[in-house]
Amino acid sequence: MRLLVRFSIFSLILVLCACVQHTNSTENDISNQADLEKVAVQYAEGFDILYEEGVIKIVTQSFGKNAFFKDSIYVRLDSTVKLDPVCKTIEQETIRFACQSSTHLAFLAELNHLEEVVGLCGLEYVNNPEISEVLKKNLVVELCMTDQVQLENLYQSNPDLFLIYPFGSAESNNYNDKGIQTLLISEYLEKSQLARLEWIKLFGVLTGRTMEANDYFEEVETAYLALKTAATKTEKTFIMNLPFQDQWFMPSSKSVGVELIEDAGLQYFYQDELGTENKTHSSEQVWNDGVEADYWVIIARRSADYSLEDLINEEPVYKEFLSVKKHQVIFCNTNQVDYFSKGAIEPHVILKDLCYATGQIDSHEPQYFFLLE
Amino acid sequence: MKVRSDIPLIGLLILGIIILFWMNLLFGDVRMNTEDVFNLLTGGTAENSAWSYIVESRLYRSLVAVLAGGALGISGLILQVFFRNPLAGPGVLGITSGASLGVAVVILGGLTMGSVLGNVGIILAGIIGAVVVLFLLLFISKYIRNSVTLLVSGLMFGYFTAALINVLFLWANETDTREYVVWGLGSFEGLSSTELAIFSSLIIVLSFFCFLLVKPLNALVAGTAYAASLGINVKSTRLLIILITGILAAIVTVYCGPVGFIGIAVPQLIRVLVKSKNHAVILPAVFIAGSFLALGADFIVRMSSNTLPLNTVTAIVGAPIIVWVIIKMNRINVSF
Amino acid sequence: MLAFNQLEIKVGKRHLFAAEHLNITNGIVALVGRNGTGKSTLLKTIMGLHDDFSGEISINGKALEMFQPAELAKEIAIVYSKSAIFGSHSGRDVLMLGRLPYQNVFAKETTADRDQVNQIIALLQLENFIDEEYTVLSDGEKQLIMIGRAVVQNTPIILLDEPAAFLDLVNRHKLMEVLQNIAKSTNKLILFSTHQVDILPKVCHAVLLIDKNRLQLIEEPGSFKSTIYESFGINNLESDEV
Repeated sequence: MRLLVRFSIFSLILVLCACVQHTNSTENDISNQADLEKVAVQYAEGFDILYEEGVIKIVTQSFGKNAFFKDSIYVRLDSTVKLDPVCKTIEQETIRFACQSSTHLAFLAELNHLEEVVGLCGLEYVNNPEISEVLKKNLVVELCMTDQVQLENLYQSNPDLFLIYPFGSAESNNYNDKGIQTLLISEYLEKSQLARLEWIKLFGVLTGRTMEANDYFEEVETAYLALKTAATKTEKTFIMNLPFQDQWFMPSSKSVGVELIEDAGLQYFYQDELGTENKTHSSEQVWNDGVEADYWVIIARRSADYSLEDLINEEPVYKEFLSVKKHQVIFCNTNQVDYFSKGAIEPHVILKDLCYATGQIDSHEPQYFFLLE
Repeated sequence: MKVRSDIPLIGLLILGIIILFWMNLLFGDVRMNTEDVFNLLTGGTAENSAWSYIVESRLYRSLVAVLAGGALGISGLILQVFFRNPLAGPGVLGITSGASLGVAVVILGGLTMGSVLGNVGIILAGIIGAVVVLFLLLFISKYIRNSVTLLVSGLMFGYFTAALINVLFLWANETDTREYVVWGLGSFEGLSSTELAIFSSLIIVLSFFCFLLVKPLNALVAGTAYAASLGINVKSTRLLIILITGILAAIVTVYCGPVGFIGIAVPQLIRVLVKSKNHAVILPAVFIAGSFLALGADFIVRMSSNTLPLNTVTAIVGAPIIVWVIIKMNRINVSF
Repeated sequence: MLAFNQLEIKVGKRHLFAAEHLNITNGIVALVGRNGTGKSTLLKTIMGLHDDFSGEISINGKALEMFQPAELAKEIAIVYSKSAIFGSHSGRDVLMLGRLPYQNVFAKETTADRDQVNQIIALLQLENFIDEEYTVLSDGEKQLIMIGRAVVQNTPIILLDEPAAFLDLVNRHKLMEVLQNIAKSTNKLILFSTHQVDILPKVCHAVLLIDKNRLQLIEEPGSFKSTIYESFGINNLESDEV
């Protein structure tokens, strides 16, 4: 069944590839649009922007072995350009968005395009008061009362484009059948923070704010690389997170989260473990290793006044952890900061937090991560 | 003579428990040698300061498994004899669901296991839920003599409470919901020393109370009318049975989550395997077999680095036992 | 042995029957009455399981209310018309249940218990099937075992609630033989409810008749049949059952 779906998507893609009619797409044509600010993709592997006459084609696709999907949409700049009706087409700058992820929201917010958001999954979990304010004011529709997208709510929000995750690709196909245009957004599959951030350029094309997107990316990239270069590589190790029942989900050594901490000069305790999936460790394994690891980076929902003592109360063995003994527990309280949304587009801020927490920077006001006292 | 012929089985089960218990202490994701484990158990130290906590946690969860498995076993046995139904058990009759609903109300209401108040509140809520379901079943069984109908009623209680819990989710916040979902997977892990003390003392005391039920249970195999003629006070026996099975099932459910299959498979199996018809033998045999099965299931869970939920393992082990016993017992008249 | 004084039994608001003063002596006594007249209720009342009565029931001069359930179990045993055992008990295990009132809290079997069981097995000639599983036995064999269990209970009174209801003709005869056998070798009161009238003069020394809301004792075997038929308003003396 899944194979069949994949095959049909593949066939659809073949059709989409031949969408633009009567265009002699050459380098010359593109050079005619000299005034157009363009996007060049440096880091990201999951999307591409192609410039054709009067249109910009956005392609998002899987890379690596774990998934297979491909999607594309035409952003029409010139209304006279004719496109095959089977192609997904939208007009730039008039797009109203529905988002399946709050990360999508962060990109749109950064580009000052929040007003055009009409639907969102997980409205109640937006914990940035300013963004929440705007969404409330605009009567943005909650799309996922449960963990699934509710079609009626989606229709009610009436978006021009629904930004969705690539998993459950059969589902995405359905939306198109039901008259809702979608675009697969897979920024979280990127292998590095900067590649992930670079997706802002795609959002720039969609919202007609390419220049702002390019500028923002460049600014963050510069700041990030500068911090990374300045960071001193150490032998200090770190473990991550807290257990769920008796299971401890440790991110893969290849994950962007781990890469970010490594960029601050630390070494992941489980860096020798291969694979891109999160790996489950039993509590006793992590207890055993926690005694040796220098740092402990925790991203969790806890009360505002959460302290090192509260952490030890959760499990007495934690007081044997080297990180706890040395007061080197680096904590991000997702109850208070917008780590999963805004954090995704501020890797330079997070990196600076980490450098500060590890004592490499003297003065800094931590935004996401701080040392637990 | 008959009691003596059951001694090899009981001895074998006890030996099995000892071996599994030791294996549970010895093996795990962190490798320790026998010497280290022995050292730590006798209050010594090891090179890694976390190891004493690891051994302690292995010891606690093994103790919890032994007691929880035994409690579920005898609770199921008593219910099977009382309702004269080989398919009865705390899970099937909806007693665990009743306890779950009680727990859900408290957890989703924001109280956690961390505090003493939370502990007491959750235990009480679980017991109330379980006992309420038992009284409802008793009420129904007065009007409906058909034992299949009783089982269906129990299943309906289960569905109904599960639905109520889903409704409760609407008002609960994410953390509370998650805590409840985790609890629902079932696990013998994670009891603090205080919780273990409460848990074990309650179960041990109640298990001894079960010996008051030896004669009533022996008589009840012939039905309540005959039991009454044999000098059993049916009314007080009924109350005692409801309280003991309800509280046992509720305590296990509160601390370990709704653990399935042990409460139905173990009594069935033991009633077939044990030759004595005296519950003074059957009750301890069921307790021991329940401990053995729970400990074995937990060993498998631990060998999977806790990736397999406990209920998955008990289902894989328990369901075939139930089917086997049903086939073996198909001659026996299930109804009145 | 068993005596009723000014007894009046009710079920809810319905008045079932009354008796002035009846004294039932040891031996085999039949309880006869049409459906719904209250035979089972009378037996239940004697068992102490039906409270809705006035007057007095006494066993050897001691009022029924004065007995604790455990004491009563040493006075009265009962056999119902159909019995089911939950479990894979052998006939011998079922017989042993009769010793329960005499056992300690752990229901420990004593040598005396086992001797008693063996004795009754011999008395009732149950050897052929006593070690079979109870649930696979025939209805006749099951009933014999339940009677054996009642005898093992070693009570001065045995009540039987339509013991022959599910038995064939041969087994009914055998049942009566067994009851006579028990009465002969033990000095008990055996009170059984029945619809078979023809056998009564041969088997019983008295009949308890419930009719027209009245419980009466007929002690003259020669007049059993005529009194019962007259009372029921039946003329046809050919009929064996009522």
